[in-house]
Amino acid sequence: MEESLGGLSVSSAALIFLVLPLSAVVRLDGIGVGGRKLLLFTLVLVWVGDTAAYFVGRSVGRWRMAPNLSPKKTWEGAAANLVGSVLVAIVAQRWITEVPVRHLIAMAALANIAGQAGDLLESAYKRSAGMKDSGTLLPGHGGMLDRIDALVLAAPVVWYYFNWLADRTH
Amino acid sequence: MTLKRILTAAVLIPAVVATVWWAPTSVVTVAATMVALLALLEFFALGEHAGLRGYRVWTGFCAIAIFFTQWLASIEQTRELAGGLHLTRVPEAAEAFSI
Repeated sequence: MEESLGGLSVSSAALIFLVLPLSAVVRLDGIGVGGRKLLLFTLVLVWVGDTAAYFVGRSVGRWRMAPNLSPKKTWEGAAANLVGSVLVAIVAQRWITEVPVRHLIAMAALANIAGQAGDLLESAYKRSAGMKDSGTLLPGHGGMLDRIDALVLAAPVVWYYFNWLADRTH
Repeated sequence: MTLKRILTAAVLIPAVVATVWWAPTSVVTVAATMVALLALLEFFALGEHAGLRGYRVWTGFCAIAIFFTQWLASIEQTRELAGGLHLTRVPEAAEAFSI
């Protein structure tokens, strides 16, 4: 019985915290050209944010963000992550004309915060399992889960923000 | 390590961008499902390290079902408004959609 409950909790957690939120990328892509732009925007803001956090955290990071979960994450890296994503929104406003710029910036900021929460959540999983990386599939990045951890929570934020905006406007 | 990280990104990013921009939603759905299944396997490996063995097969089927349902919902998005009014968005209209 204990084994069943343990298995059920792992399976349910995988569906609730991984599969269901990640499936928002399909809904975003399905909107059409505007959706494809928003999906690329989501991917780029996660990539730029992650890269900014990595390099800024490594070079000037002093204040540890979550020493128990992820010892290398710093507040300086987190700030660079957020700033990087907002910069992506500012640059992308010329291309994503479907969404007003203030909403694009808010969307990027909220998606970035959600993405960083997703990153920390995955760190918590790895920490509880006593592992450093989720896998070795992607050289230099670790596993697939390591690569998509931020996207998993950022994508539904963009999708629901877009829906809220569409409902509010029409 | 950093060079390896950059090289991997340099190979994967163009592939992902090209898939999202040019491939139809059905292909993006299949690609996203594959990514989710790979991530699921790693998630289950984490669980096993913590002493918890998940139900891999039925969780995998549920994951495929979730992505399939999302794809179905995305190809014909119907909204129900007050008064029983239904709005159905067709792809041609979605192309011209803006807020």
